[in-house]
Amino acid sequence: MVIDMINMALYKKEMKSNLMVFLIFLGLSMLYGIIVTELFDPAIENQSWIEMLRDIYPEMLDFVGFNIGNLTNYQYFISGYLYGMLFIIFGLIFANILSNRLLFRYIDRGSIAFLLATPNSRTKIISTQIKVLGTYLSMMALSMYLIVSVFGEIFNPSYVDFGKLLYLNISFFLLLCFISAIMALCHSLLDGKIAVGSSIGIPVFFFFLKLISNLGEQYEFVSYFTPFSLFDPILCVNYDGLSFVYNGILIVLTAILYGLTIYGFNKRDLSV
Amino acid sequence: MIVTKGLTKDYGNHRGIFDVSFSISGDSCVGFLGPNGAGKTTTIRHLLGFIQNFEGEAYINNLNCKKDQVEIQKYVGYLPGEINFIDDLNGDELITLIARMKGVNDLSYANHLLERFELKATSPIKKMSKGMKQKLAIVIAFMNDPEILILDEPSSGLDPLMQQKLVDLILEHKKRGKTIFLSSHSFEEVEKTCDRIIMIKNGSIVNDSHVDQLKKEQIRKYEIEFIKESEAKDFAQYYRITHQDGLSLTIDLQDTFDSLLKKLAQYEIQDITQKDLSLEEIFMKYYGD
Repeated sequence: MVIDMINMALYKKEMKSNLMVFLIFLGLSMLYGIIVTELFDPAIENQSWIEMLRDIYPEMLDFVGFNIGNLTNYQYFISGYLYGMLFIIFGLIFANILSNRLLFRYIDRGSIAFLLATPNSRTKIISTQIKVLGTYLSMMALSMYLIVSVFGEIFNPSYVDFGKLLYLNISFFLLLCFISAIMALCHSLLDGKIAVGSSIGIPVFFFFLKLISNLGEQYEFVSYFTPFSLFDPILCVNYDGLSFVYNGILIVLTAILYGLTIYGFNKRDLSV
Repeated sequence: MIVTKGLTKDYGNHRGIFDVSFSISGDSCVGFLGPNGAGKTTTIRHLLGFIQNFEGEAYINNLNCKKDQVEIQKYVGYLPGEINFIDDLNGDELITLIARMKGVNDLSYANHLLERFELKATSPIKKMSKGMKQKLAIVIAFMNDPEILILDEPSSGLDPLMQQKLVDLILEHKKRGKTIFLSSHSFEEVEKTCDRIIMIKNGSIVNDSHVDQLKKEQIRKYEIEFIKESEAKDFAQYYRITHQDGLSLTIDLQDTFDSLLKKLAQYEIQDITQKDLSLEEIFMKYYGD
């Protein structure tokens, strides 16, 4: 089975080699995460600054997902201000850098030749790389969970719902896995600039569609054309049934894309 | 044992390999010669399973090169033509990683090879010179003492001293009954190590013969510098001159060297040098264009 195919020596090496990239993104997430959790203030009278922004730039707040219905709910606040855009962008860039380092770089430079010249199948090598990617994405989602829950609890005791935030981050992790699957597919099956361009271009394009769909009712139809709609933070923090369906779809799509990645990688010619 | 039957991979514009068939038995060292772009590396990529979409068949120890790579890799040591290491490691770390991936626990032979090639593998690969990287690749290819060695231009980037050490290493393994398939564009390198030479040109095999046979057929080129013009003119009557630069004449020797020496003893000679024929020239001589 592909699931348990792993070369531990390679896995450990890759975990070590990519640790620095993770730490940089962890630092960034902490920085922004702490600032935003600290901004939360449940007292209505202290939210005049947000009201002011809403009056001046209503479309802009819609576009970036900052227009939140209930500002006195910590979960809603976090969903809008971190999981509406900021963390998604961090996750997207992080996944792309990792996918590039774990897959594209090896194939493009030809160093995959040394890995394949060992008694390990292509499936095992690429599955190992994908598992490193998955491990780091789960660590990223877990870190984000810890940041928003622990610092939320420190700054605003009794407003944090740990269970809902955990579910939000599990859903976020599933979204990251799906995005990384698009990237892995591009990075392992395409060559050169096309691989690099499409691996970042396709997810960014879908993300922009999501942002456009935020702009109001007349643009809402756009949300049907982007997989980012399958991650709806507000649905998640309400344990809405639809969010479970969305997560299920994300899991299936991710499995299909990774299956295609492994299949395609096995069949392709490597000029290494 | 390495066998290919009608191996064909057409990249278009007459690039690729066409109907490449050969068979290498258990204990021989075979050179795979050809100019740049002739199809040497492409053929080797088929053997290593890097190319999956092709016509024909390739087998190593009766295992299919397309499907049975995991099993094949247990017997094979491979040295790529272009060394592109995972460069975020140092040499030692890379050796350990590949050894673990190959299931090699005993690194004593790897350490012996490091000493032999005078390579300190503790430095980061990023900072290694081309020669150092080549030595590291040699260590990785040989470290599990494989039954079959596939070496793609193994001496590339090595200085003459290290080239000799590599030749000695190859000869050692040959003596121990290993199968060695070595690609090169240097006739000399192959001549020192191999019993048989397969020549490839424009993707097709143009010759497959024993080294002794080729040596017999090989035309040697000498540049002779005379002191007197009259003597140069006189000498030119007896030999085919391919190039003349003042008093310096270049000849293709088809006769024995002994007869040339006896002839030259009649003249006053400034200098004599043997000129190596480039592989292109050998091809031109043997097979035309």
